[in-house]
Amino acid sequence: MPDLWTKEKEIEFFTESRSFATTEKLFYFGDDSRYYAYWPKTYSGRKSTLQSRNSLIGNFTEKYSVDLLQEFAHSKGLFAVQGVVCDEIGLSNRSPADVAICTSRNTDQRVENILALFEVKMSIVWNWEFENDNLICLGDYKSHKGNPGLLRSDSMLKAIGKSINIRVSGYQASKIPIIILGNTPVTESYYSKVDHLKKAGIIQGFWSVNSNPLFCRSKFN
Amino acid sequence: MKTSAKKFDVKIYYSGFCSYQIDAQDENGAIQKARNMQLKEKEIMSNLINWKEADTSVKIEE
Repeated sequence: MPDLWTKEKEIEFFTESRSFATTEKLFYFGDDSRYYAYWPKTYSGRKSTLQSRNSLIGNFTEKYSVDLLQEFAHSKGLFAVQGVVCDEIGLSNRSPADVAICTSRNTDQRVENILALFEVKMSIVWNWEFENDNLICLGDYKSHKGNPGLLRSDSMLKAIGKSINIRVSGYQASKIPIIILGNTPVTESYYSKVDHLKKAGIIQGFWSVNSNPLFCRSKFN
Repeated sequence: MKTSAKKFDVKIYYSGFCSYQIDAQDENGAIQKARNMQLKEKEIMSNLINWKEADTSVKIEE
């Protein structure tokens, strides 16, 4: 069975991405000449901008989510599919479902063949320093200035907005559960909203696939 | 058959944030104060996230 999200997954992301992306596309470069995944809270120097790694981590985490769900899907004779388009329920080419559980492998799907929808909202969670081809874990999400995954209120609102867009696109979507997959907790101010979204039948779950987001020790450092 | 390219007016939307440390009476007051502060261009540029659902493309009639 595939692993849940861990620091090792983040190492895999950086290692894979470095084969085609420059270090400057993946890390911030501090005026202390160090490469950081996020600016540490203790960092007070000048801050460089990062050529967006969002599309890279977005694609990596969607593929990871497909792998995570595929075994379960196959056990039911179904398929986890990335980038599903179904115009009937507002999933256009421009904004497909990140992952859907479907009765076939096709990305173009009819609504009756979609059994569940997953919106993936994951980021790099821990902070890393890249030094001499090594990744050193500097700390968990409380130690850096980034606001990863579902800790970002704009990511929460986008997930809610996309789900409502599906719900209002047609009655046919009403029976399809929508799950938001994250790799961070949800902020406390959203706890009751998440419960109400479930009670209202809009979003059936906000699931984190990271069981130890505050754990920092690693065999890698 | 080759079709000729058309011109489109495209808008790609992003969201991002700036961080501030604010002295205020309460949370709402702190947000109001921070909204009036200067944008931190570098910070906001480095944490933009695409908002695909908001993107628009409109054909330009020539």
